[in-house]
Amino acid sequence: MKKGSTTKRNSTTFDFQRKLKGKVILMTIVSALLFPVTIMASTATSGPESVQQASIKITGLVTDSGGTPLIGVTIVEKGTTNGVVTDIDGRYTITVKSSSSELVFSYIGYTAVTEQAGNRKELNIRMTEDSTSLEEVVVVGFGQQAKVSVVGSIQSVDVGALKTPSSNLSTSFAGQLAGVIAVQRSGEPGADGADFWIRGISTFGSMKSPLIVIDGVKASTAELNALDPEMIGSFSILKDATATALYGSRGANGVMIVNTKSGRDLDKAIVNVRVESSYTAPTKVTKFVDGVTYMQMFNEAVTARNLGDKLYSQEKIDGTRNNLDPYVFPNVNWYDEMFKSGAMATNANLSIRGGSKKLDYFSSVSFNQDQGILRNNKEFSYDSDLSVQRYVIQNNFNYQVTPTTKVSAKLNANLREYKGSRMSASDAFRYSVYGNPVDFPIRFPDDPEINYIRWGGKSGSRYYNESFINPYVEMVRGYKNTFESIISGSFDVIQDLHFITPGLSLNGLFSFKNWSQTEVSRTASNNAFEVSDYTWNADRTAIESYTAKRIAKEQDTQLSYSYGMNGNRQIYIQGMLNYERTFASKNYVTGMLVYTQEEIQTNKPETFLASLPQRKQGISGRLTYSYDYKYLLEANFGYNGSENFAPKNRWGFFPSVGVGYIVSREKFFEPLNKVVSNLKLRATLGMVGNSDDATRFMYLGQIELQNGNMSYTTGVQQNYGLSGPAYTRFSNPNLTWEVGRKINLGLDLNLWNRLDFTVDLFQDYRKNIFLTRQSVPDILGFSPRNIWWNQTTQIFGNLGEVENKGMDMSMDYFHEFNHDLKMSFKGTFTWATNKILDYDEPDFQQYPNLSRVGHPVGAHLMYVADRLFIDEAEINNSLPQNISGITIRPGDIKYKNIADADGKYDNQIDANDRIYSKYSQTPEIIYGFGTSAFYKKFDFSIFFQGAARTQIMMSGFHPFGNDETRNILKFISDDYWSESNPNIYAAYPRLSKLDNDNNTAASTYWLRDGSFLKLKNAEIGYNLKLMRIYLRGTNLFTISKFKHWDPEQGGGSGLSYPTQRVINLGVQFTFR
Amino acid sequence: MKKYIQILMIVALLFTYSCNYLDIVPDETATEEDAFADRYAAERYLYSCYAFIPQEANVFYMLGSTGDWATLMEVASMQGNYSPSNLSYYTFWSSFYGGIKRCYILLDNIDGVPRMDEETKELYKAEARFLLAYFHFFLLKAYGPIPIIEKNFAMDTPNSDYPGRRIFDECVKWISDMYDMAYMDLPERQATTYYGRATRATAKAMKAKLWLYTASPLFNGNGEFYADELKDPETGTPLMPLQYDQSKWEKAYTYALEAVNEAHSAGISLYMGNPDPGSGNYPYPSDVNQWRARMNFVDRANTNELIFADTRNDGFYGYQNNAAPREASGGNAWQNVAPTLEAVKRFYTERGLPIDEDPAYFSEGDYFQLGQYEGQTTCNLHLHREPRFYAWISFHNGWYELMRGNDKRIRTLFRKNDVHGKQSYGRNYSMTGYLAKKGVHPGYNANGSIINYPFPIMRLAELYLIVAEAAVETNNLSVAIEYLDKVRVRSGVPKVETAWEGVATLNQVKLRQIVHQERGIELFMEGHSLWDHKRWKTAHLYVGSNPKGLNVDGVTDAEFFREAEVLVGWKFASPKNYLLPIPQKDVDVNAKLSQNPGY
Repeated sequence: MKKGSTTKRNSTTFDFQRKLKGKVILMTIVSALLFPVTIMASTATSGPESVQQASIKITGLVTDSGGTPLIGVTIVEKGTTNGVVTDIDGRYTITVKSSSSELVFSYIGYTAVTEQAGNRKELNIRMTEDSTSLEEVVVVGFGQQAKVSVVGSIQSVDVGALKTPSSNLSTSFAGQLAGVIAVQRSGEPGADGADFWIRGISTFGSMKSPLIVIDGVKASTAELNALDPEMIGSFSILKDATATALYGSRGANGVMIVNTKSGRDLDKAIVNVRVESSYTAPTKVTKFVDGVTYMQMFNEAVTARNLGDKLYSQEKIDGTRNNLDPYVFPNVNWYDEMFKSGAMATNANLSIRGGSKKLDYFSSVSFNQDQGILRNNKEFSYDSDLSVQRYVIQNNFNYQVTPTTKVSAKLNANLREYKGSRMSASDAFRYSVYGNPVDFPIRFPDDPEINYIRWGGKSGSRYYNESFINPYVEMVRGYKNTFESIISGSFDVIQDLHFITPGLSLNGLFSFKNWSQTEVSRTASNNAFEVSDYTWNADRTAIESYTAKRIAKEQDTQLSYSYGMNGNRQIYIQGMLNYERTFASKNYVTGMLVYTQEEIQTNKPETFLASLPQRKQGISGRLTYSYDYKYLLEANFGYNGSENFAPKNRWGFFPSVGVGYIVSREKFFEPLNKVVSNLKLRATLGMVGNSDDATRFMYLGQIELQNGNMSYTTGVQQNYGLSGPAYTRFSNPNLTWEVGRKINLGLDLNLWNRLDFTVDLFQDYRKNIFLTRQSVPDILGFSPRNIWWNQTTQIFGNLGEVENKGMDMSMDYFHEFNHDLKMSFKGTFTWATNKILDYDEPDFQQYPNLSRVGHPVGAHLMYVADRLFIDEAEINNSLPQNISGITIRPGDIKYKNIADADGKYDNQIDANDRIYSKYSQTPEIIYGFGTSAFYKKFDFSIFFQGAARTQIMMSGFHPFGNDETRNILKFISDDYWSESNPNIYAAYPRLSKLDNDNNTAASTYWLRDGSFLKLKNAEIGYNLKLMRIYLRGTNLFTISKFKHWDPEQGGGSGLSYPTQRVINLGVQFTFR
Repeated sequence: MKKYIQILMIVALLFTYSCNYLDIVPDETATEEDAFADRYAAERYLYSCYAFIPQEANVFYMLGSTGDWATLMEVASMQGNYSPSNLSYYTFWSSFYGGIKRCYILLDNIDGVPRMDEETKELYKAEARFLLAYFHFFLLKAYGPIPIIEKNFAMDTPNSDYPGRRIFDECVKWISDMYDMAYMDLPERQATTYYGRATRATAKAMKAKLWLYTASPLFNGNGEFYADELKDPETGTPLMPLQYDQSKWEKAYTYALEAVNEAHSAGISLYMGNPDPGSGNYPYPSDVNQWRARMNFVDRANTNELIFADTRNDGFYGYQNNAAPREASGGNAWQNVAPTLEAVKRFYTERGLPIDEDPAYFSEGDYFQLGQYEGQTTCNLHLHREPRFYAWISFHNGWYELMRGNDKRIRTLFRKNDVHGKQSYGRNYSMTGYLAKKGVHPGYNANGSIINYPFPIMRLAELYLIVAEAAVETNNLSVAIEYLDKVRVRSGVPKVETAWEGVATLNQVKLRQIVHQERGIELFMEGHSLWDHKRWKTAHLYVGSNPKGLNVDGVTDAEFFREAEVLVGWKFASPKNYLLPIPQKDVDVNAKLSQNPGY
């Protein structure tokens, strides 16, 4: 318990604070200055002070190697009884006799430091961890454990390093947390949390994400994202089997354990305030072509395929080029009209922490407001931009009821209000491509005879009330409010049972949580107009007049509304026995047995099965033994029940064992201890389980007795209609747990007490993965389909196997040049690669290239593009490409034929000629590195983050279309195949007005390397008495081969809410 | 010791709460057994078996691929753009085998339905058997030799037990026997409410149709296409009959006559309705022959010609909205159903002869010369044709009978800038300069509700033409002429011998041509054309290249009345496309299943 902890391990007395504070760091450094209380606060408590003449007053700050203040460090004037203790901010003030006095700084778990007072008024000390300390603890599943005795792969997170420019904690995970693969796909306020996986992906089932436990209770990603770093007391990541076996039912994908802060025994409460203001702007702005280019390319696309669609006239092209009239010859940049270049955000936190021996408290209020970059419309009284406001209130109380009984209560309210356009922001971006620059203006000038807005449109569409879509109108013609709240409360009793036997305690936890969401959407219809006729002036240099005609039936433009509700409630009960004792001074034993049960009910179920409560039940236990903290042994088990299986298969047993050996504590190692202060080897092996899938009651058959597709009508009057059943799922009583076997080999190394290094190698072999059966032929009749309906009948089985392996490592280094200049360096590296070993699929005897086996989960199935066709002659001499209905022309993509199992090539290119990509969209490698410097009152830090071994597939950005007139992205117009640019490696193939599946199908032509390296953070801070001011930039630049959009957003069209570059200016105050 | 007892008690307390904590699903959850809980559930189950009959009037995939008309709407099936891995609209394999499973589930469970009378149980079984036969027949005509499913397969059936394709004649025998078995317990007529469900006549007529296909060139001795391919992967036996067998035509002839008798005894007769201008509802067509052609099965209350029909209702995206001419002021008429020039030429002249064989008709070079139709300009090709032409084809300056404003018929105008012309439409325009009137009720109103009618799967006129075709092939030429004349007389077309007198000798070859053309005319827009051309092995000539139409980009009469290619990319690979591709997944998982040749 390195940072900020004052408690000392005592194996027989009950120590509550230790549990809540927890341990904070393994590896870290970098600018923990920000959080929670790094300021040069003054004043300090002082111990008994002998008043002497010629005394010198010295103040200073004591921190750990990462810069986090240490509380409760004892400072003694050597050879006297004069001593003080650092306060909650790590500050002290001491008056010593003379400049020759020596001060001794000591702290449990840290190497003591002796310094001469000299003539300094300020003496700041950085203490380094004594890695051989036995006192340090880490948070593990259902409790904590002496760090030295841990054999599993558990990472404690330096919360201070989790700098979040957005209001989502998870966006800071990538590169900061060894063993976590994380990518941020969207920059949309309120939806910009990162996707993250502990040690990558080990299953193709629907549950890939880790279990999140906040204050002992299962929580959602949204709850994790809502936590301000100031609120977090400890944060651990459980990666291997000994760490996760306890959470049998849910631990297979790893566990994140977060505990919020608690109060402490202080004579004066500490108040911490942080206010931050940010400017956000897209990392990259999508560029479309101008109107003239659009029309020229459209005409080319039409004539290129000889389709007979109407061309844009030369008159219109010239009129647009000369800007003759914004209504007759519009030239609209829809993207610019719909989106701003940037937005503001505000972020504030206030926390109070204090208490006495009997009662302590921690209260925190956070406020976030994020604005989006959708433009406010000028036409209506409501806003179309989005704004997300969030309030998080956390109250934690601990009360020592009797000397052996402690009660702890926590209350959390998490409120979120979303205001925005009627359509989601991501849809607004997606729709921006539907407006091309020239077909219509945004709106026509008001007509005094008409009391509504005459929006621009174009007739002839099959959809949208006969008019082609006007994306601006879609965005502004209504607004939406969503209010969401998560209220949770927990009550925790800990009873020390040493009167039964020393070292025994009992804990009971009850928790309730309610999530509710209400969404109200107000939408109005609109009337679209188009220019039906116009007249030139006499010399044809300007438009004299035009007529705008309404396209379809007149619509009411008043708002109407719709609303939706959602929510659930969760009740969690836990009872736990703990045992912890040392025998014969060297045999340290702990034991733990816990019973858990959990129930979640949906507040507004949509189906009958969804209306049933979701329940889980389990018993878990842990036994650890250590001899002299040299030889370590640990065993865990989880015995868990799940509703998802038939009664006989309901329960799963998941054991794990681990061993550890701390070489550096051996006698023979002593000579090396100067250099190698810690060397520990770890190995674990265990089973973990997963029972969850997006589908509930997977074992159970499901039938809809009267299904609309299964109906027929008879009668002379054709009025006797009956509907029969549809089978949605056939029962499979044999279904059982998905099981993972996890192996972990780890090494912890500390050199010179300066360099921390940890590396873990892992393998996760997952079998019995849930899968609906894929290999049942149609002739058995289970899943009939026609073009109108697809009566898929699911049959679940334990049918898949995946192997996931890799490594994660982290390194921290700290160097102090002198009292004014200190530097630290940190780096993490995570590599996780997976491969499907078994999958229920047709055996693809003839086309093994279509089998998913041997490929990573999520690999892209695609054609192999050769290049573009040169001319008709080449097409006639090539194999027919049976991919789309369109006639192949020069400049279309030419694909390669793929040999079948016998090495033979068939006589056409079709779906059998596809292969899987090497990597998926999820990166296999995530890394980060950075450095911090502290110079006098300044601090600087910089952090880079990267991803590698990832491939993204571009799709959905193609211009024009069968029923659409989609816009053209700039990069297409820059380099596309045409008669005048017959480049067979052009960025874009021959244009086509109609959807051309031959060119748009997933293929290597559109596959891109999604690797990137980002300057994720750069920060400069200045410390004053009670406050720190800082300026931070996030996502400052990206280096990547992929240029069209931020590769972290993933594949697709790039037409989604872009990731944001953020500049924050913040100030933090601490009062006491 | 006492301490440990205390601990144990505490632990025990924790666990007493709920052994049944995880038993969440109540017993009253819907299960597979509930589908046969009572006779009402059983009746619903029977209807769900009928649900697998493909919607015959569906413009996208049933009517959409007949070759009678051209459209941009759904072209993949006519362009030959379907393959085992991309079936496009040809999903018959999956849906019919789904229907077959369902029929077996009904047969397996119906006896256990409580408080349901035995007679109804037997009726349901008979109907399920009829559907089993019908679904297998449809698969047979589409895919050739098929796996015959004889039971409800269990979910965990091992791959080695998956059935493979049976030789064609075994399939036919199995289906034919199944029709016979169903016939035993089917009623002569279904009650008014149940009209549309199978009857004895249905079983007989569909059996006759099975044998018509069996005897036809595609399946009867087709060594040309299938001598070297389409074999059982295990034994190497050819699946398709390679030797022509005349007795199959004999059977087709016998069964067709049996079906005619069955139909007659059930009171089924040709529609002979008369126009009723007096009522004022639908005064057009006022010509009695045109009325009969136009109203045949559309006159729901009075028609008695249907032997088997799809009695479901036409939907918003159904045939009538797609076929009717657009209304300038909006509405739901999309005029997509554009008959090809081939279909237009297919109809006889007023003398009952093909246009190129009628010595009195315009010579080919004059077809597109301008002429007058009821006082308005059109081209010669539209003049002096038989009543069915005027009842079913809407041409430039011809009439379209439907409700529009105060009018009960309108003139259709198809030059580019005309009201029904292409104008600037990218779709929803006639691609040939014609529209189909057949199947659009004269009471159709673009803004009102659709008037429904049962869409024929088998009607008496077709059965007569099956008799006629089988009679030609078995050389019973006088019977052939007799049955052809029944159809012609009802339509106001001169009898065969009258029409052809002095023009050609009526031998077997000539009568074969006449009966084929009569089918093409009488069953126009009923979904039969491409299937017929496939079984006659003439499909590659019929839809192997783009269809023709008039020049819809023509603004003036001179520009418009001109033969033009309709660029819809029709293709038909022979012999590949004569049979449909089997879904790749089924071929992949079932070693006994061979793919059709060419795919």
